[in-house]
Amino acid sequence: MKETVKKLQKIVGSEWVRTDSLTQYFYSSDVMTYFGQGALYPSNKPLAVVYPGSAKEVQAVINLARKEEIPLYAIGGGTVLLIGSIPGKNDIGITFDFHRMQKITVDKERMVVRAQPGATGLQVSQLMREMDFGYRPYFGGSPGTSLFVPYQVFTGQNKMAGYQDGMGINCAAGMEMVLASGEILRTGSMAHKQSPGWPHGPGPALTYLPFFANAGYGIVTEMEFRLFPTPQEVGSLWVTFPTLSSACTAMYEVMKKEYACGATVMGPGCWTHALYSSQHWQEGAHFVKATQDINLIGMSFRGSKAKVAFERKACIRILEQHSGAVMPDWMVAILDGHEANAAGWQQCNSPKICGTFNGKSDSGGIFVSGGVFDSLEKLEDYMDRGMKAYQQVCRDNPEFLSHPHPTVRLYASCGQTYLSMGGHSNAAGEVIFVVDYARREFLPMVGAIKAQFDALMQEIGMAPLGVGRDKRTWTECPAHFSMAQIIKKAADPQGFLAPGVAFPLSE
Amino acid sequence: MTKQELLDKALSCNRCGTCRGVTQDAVPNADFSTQCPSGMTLFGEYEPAGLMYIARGIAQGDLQWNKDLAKVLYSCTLCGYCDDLCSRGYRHTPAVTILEELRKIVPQELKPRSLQKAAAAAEVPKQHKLAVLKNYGVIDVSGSGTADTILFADTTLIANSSKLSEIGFLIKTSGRKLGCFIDEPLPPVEQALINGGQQDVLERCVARIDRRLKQKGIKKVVCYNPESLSVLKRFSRSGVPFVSITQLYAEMLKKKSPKKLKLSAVTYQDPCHLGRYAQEYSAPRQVIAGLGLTLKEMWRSRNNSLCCGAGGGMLAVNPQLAKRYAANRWEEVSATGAKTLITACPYCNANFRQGKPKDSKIMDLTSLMAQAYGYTGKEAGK
Amino acid sequence: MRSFYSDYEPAKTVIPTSPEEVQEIIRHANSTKTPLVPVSSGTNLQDTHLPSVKGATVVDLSHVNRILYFDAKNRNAVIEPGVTFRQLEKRCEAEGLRTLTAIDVPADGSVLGTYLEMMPLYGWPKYHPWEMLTMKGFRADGEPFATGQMAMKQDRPDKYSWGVSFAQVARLYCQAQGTLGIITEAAVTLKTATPENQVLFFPCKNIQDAVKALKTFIATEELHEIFAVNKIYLAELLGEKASAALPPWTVVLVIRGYEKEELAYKKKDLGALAKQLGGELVTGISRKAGEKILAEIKLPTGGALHDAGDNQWVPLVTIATASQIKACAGLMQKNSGAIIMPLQAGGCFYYQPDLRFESGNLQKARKEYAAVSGKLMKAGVMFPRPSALIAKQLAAQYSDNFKLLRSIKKAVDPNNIMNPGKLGL
Ligand SMILES: Cc1cc2nc3c(=O)[nH]c(=O)nc-3n(C[C@H](O)[C@H](O)[C@H](O)COP(=O)(O)OP(=O)(O)OC[C@H]3O[C@@H](n4cnc5c(N)ncnc54)[C@H](O)[C@@H]3O)c2cc1C
Ligand code: SF4
Ligand code: SF4
Repeated sequence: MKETVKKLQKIVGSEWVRTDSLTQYFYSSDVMTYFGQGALYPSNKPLAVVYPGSAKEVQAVINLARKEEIPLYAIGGGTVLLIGSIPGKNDIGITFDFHRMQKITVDKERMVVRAQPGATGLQVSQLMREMDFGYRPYFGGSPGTSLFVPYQVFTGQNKMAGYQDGMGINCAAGMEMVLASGEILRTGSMAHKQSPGWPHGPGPALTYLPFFANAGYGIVTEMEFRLFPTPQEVGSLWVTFPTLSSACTAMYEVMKKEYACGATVMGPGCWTHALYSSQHWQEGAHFVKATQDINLIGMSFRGSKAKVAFERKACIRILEQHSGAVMPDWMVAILDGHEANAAGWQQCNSPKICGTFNGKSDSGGIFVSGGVFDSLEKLEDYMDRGMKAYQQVCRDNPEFLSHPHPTVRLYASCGQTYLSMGGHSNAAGEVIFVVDYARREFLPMVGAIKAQFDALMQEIGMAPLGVGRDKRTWTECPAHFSMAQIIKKAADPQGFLAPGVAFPLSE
Repeated sequence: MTKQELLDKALSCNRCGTCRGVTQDAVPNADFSTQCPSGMTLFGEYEPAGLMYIARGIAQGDLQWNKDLAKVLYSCTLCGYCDDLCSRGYRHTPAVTILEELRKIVPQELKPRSLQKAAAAAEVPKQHKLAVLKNYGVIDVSGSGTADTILFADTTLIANSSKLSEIGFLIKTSGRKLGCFIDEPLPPVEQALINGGQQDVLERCVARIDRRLKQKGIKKVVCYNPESLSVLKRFSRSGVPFVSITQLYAEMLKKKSPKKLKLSAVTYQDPCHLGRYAQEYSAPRQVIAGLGLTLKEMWRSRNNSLCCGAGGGMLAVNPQLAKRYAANRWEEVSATGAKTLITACPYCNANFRQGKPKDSKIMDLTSLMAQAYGYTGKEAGK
Repeated sequence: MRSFYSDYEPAKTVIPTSPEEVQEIIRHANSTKTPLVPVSSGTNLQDTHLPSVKGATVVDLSHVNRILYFDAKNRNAVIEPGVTFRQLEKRCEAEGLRTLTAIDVPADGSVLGTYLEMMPLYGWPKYHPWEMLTMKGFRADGEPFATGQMAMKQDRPDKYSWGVSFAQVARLYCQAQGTLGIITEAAVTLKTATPENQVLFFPCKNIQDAVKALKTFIATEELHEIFAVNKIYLAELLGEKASAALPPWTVVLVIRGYEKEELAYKKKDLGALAKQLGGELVTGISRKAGEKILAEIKLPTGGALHDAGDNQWVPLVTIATASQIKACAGLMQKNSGAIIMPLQAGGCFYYQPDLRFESGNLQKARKEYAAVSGKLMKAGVMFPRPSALIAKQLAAQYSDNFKLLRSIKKAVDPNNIMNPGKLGL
């Protein structure tokens, strides 16, 4: 390894190759291993971390790794859930950190933003807002995520603008990727200097290769996403419902008419989305307490003044017909960040959620279950039965519910997003259940709850997310996975790109 | 702090990366949208989350102290940005508390010697030139003299006769009665003791200061050095208010007009210890306005101000790195179009001199005030 | 039309009636190394359904034509490749829904084939592409292939969840011109049929003004359909004589809704923008113009709209930026029609200028087609679905993309039986 390190240093400069114990420790875990403090998802250390400064350097490192048969991994913001950027095994690979590559440029005519992998979602959002553009898909978990990596890993669902604009993947316009061979591939809007901002083609689209591939097909060095003009006006509406089913029926009606640019139905204790835009975690905690018994729909509108006014009025009419009640202003005030999101600017949120459910910073929390559903009916079913399953586990484990820590309780929360699948405003969405637990002794219980949800998910029918090391794509979807492996073989015959993450480790 | 306490605090950081960036809604230039001096320069474990990982690893026994850990620890300028940002709404990682704790528990042999020297200097007053102040009618409260308000003499001021002279001149010109412990100075405490991990010493010194303030019935303490202001504010139990000298200047400008300065537009560096630590953002700006200067704000200002790079003892430990940190700030200075950078902190001033572009000037706020009231420098000898 | 792109006649046509038969055909072709050309309806704008080699067997999928599942509540349908727009639309009509149709793809065209090949849908400016959610079929090597929820064994008919992680594969099968396998089933999205519908016209002096107007209007997000056509294309759409008193360019705006009030605010907003652009919105550009447009969007005529006797029509299917359109407009003949549709919120455009030629002048027309296409390519214009006549040229221009595609093709189709000669693979 010493020799390899020397060679790496020659490529990127001695300062930009690190092998010390802290580096290895830092790059061996992410939010997920971290939440469970290593108990649910183990950490794997890289041998070294390399900070390339350019695509050329990325290329050189790849060429070296191929020759020396060393696995390569990549990390963008490093905030991904489900260990997508952690080596597949302890002490086998080199990890790329791209934070030296932070360039962001906006092309006004083609309406695309080009970002290098080290640029954060927050930086991109700030720059675009300055230029009066918006980027509608959600920026992912936290402001520190890289702009394009979120969409390789998670879905980039914008809870408040999703159903018109789709997800991150729907907004990708083109990319530049270094393949395992060291060759550079430029697709879609980046195929040529003047390529239009169109991701599809010519012929079969390669722009989508990196999504959810966790660096398995190649290392992306630049990516372009489409932008939207800033709307004249943005508005939101928050309506409470006595039952989940009345909320869902109402939502179907709204979706059918395609009013609003995005909407979310939330079950009791609807903290998830409340906190996504609360100004402070304490404000969010307050909200959680206030919403323990209610169901909620939140939606955003954008466009001309007349459009926002008309759609808002029309939606109030529809929702009230299904026993919805428009929420009081003080509550709405907490939720205002969503409007910025609808306009296309990031509002930073998820960390606040963690802040809340971690309460006093001595607990962990874990997403027990979550996934993208394709219809509201299935979401409703999942949410309803999921809550019951959760309550049963709680009843079986009274110490969980009666724990003195105020936040050590499951906030089973349902964020459903009508969205995103291609921006077709047909129902689709995700449900997230989060368990908060104070100490590791709760892990078995968390495991029990997780198992219940997993079984339910399969029964109701949901395609696996394929996030990180979600092995369900390998085991449950052979008709898909065998094709993915064919592509993998073509793109990376030696299999040294991120083995053990999106593709299994070869033994 | 026990290991468990340290771990609980460190676990609060979930590595969300928010503190990588500034939190304004929009930025005109992505080059100025990152914030942590060490993180934006060296990335990875040099970012706040990396430092939190040191704490986590040490507390859990996953990491052992070594040179590499120390290198990362002492690349942080303790600018306080991450802590401030995190508590603004994201989480509530007490980053500064954790970082200070790490500097305490790091094994002696890994502590940079220069930091220890600086800490020692902040503990005991050295040969001083405070008598200069007497020339300007400042009352020595260490003897029989009394005064409600005193000037605090820190390590950067205590032997600096020209700066003392400027300040003395301004006090005299303002017509205010001010005291100072002149013949028997107070311990010239400042951040250096924390940088060196000697918070216990600092606390002892501040207790001594508190006793003497009480003995003398002091009602208010004016600090020239923001690093003293911030530690006194944090650790004093005296109940006496500690204020920045810039407040004195702001009041003075209201009462007595200065002469017009010939300066084109200026910009201002919010020192970390004056701003984020002591929450003093307005007085320096009032002074700049009162002097009739046009202020062109940098993008990262007030609580989003980017550290000059000198903090945490960096100027002593690794001046080259401090200079690298300052470079990005100089770019932002240039981007404002201002040719003069005003600072209100002796360390910022010193560090910004490193790597100063040829066509730019750097001015200490006190010197600027003195100039505006006709101070020529000849007064110093009197 | 048939003769424009290809001189090869298929050796044989087979007509499967079920997915199992399709798999059987692929397996057999692999063992005999027979080229296969899958055809869903044969109404493709380009030549993807015509053999590019000798001795090919056409797999006519028009009899695999069941609507397997129709979900009015969730507005999705699961269909086989032989299902036509007319067929699906009929079903939609009964349920208060509508099918998204494509420019110049006739009512008897295959829905699945159209979506799979990404022919430009009138609905794209509003909904963006991605109308096909999950799919299922057979790879070129005869193995089963599926994406999203269809890749899972769950026994339920409503498998729409496409799952981002499947996009890498799913999008690869789009615009593949049948070179990677045959899709036998797909879930597609449907839209609500609105009671209130109106067409507005915005006449423009030239192509530049039209492009600018498209970009301005689309930003409102108030339109269900929007495109611009030149005089020739518009005359054909409206069934008028080419000599009719129509403007050189016209932006066609379709507003839809549930209430009169909804259409009223849209008209007002769009009218104000029209004024800013220095023009005016009109409702009747000729007799029954609006109705004719709505009818065409509902069930398009297809290429027959532009063919007249001996005069034939060939479209150039491209994606371009505003400046590329401006730079290229002059390259086209005086008698060509053109339609432009804004995409990506106005960041780029579907640009379809066309060539008109007399049947007797085929060779000359082909030459001209290749020459004009070459010029457009040089200007950076993208041909998302190149016909075999220009595929090689294009593959050379995008050599990095095609190099990888070729190795994927080789791995999935070792005997090179699926539509050989296409895409320069
Ligand atoms: C609290 C919380 C809440 C969240 N909520 C949401 C939500 O509401 N909606 C949502 O969509 N997501 C959500 N997420 C997930 C979030 O989107 C991810 O955490 C985020 O997208 C990860 O981005 P990152 O830049 O940090 O990726 P990383 O952690 O860096 O991971 C990137 C992945 O892509 C690969 N990769 C990195 N760089 C490259 C490259 N240059 N080329 C090729 N491959 C590369 C890596 O190998 C890795 O697999 C949430 C996350 C958290 C922690
Ligand atoms: S210190 Fe706070 S803002 Fe920074 S990464 Fe940790 S949790 Fe996020
Ligand atoms: S205190 Fe400043 S330099 Fe240190 S980690 Fe925090 S932001 Fe970075």
